[in-house]
Amino acid sequence: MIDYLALYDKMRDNNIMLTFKGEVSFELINSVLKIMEERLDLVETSKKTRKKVYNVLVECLQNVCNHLETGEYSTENNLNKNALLIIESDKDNYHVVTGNHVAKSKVDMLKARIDEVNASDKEHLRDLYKKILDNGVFSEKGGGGLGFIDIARKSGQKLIYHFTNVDQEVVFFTLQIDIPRTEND
Amino acid sequence: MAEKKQLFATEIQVLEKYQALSNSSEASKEDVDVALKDLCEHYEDLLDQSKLITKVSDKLQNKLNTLNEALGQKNTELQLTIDELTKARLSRKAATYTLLLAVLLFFISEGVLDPIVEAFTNNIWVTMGVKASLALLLKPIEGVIEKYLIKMAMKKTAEVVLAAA
Amino acid sequence: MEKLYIDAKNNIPLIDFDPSSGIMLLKGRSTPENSVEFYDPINKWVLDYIQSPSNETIVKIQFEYFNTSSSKCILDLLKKFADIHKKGGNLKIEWYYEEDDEDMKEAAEDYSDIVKVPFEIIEIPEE
Repeated sequence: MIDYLALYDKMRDNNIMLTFKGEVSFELINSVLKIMEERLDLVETSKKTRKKVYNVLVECLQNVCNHLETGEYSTENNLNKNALLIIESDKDNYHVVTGNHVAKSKVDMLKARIDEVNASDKEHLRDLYKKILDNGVFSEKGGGGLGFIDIARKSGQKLIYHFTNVDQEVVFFTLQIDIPRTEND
Repeated sequence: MAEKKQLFATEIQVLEKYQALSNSSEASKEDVDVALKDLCEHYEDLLDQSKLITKVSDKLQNKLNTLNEALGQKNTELQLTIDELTKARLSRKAATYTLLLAVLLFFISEGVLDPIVEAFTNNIWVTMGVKASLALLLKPIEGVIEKYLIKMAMKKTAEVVLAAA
Repeated sequence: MEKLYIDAKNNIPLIDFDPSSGIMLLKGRSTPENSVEFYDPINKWVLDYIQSPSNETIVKIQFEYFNTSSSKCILDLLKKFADIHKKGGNLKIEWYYEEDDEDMKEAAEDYSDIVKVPFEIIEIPEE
């Protein structure tokens, strides 16, 4: 039996603007965007910040959607197309978090890709993007890590990730992007 | 600037009239008193007008900003929809290719495969079995074609994004 | 005196001035490139009308939006109508705004502050 009041309080204290668990479809993305459009309009006065949060949200959702559709990081017989989405805010930042299950065997590749993106500046990101497109990497399953580059470019922030063990084969991967709330606009 | 000149035609007339008066050395006290009163009235009018049109202009600017933001968001939603539609279109394309492949396989099976199989066995179940396995292959083949087409489309989009950056 | 009727277009409002009934309707959008050109004949008509206005003149205004130069022309127009009131005649201005259009409501209030005649600001449902 869930303590609903505690949950409510926790969500309020952490300023959770939206949470979702389920399949990330095109319709879902549209719905989330519509809700966040309105919420951001109410709480955020800086147009620049609103725009940034919105754009980062689009990229993160598309990223997780692609991962699940192509099964790029999934286990062999993975039927789990469900993901977690949380958007929260504190006085300094907005936090956009997506989470989904990945295969333990793919963790290193995932880490390497994100680390490379985090270590790159704007110029380097461009080159990386081009490299992925030109290489055969793109012709494998999935987007080859382009999604992470899109997120990095749109947010201008480091991608923060966590891996939590689930069982022998599966790990829960969360990706967090912090977007600072600018004071002036 | 011709339009702006006509917009304030009355005000310009008033100004010119009283500038002439102020420059002339023959103005009587009464003339000046009347002129001052009139000028004050016009000045007040002009001030009211300026306040009004500044407010109007500010509001229009605000409206523009809001619409701009909404436009940006609509654009994003539009792009997502276009991507979905493209996927649907490519899915149909893949189905069409697979259908053509099926027809081709049919002819090949009739013309080439049958004689070969019959040379080895008369068992109807074998011939049926061969045809059935070919038929079953069609679905996965369609899946592969669809994934490939979507991949190519995504690559194209990514290249556009890169070029625009 | 003849009626004055100008069909509304993308950037000019509907003008329907009836000298016999005294109902003067301005409705739509006013963003012509040359506002002076558009409002000049209307001004002339009004100058003519106020020589012998109808028993009661009601100016009904319903703008979706107007650009800055139109705002001055509209003010000038309303001031001309206001002469009827100054001369002791019966004049009323009714400014309609759609609910949620705070900007238009405020604009109407600004106009009523400058044009000192019986002025009614009326909210109508969104069209």
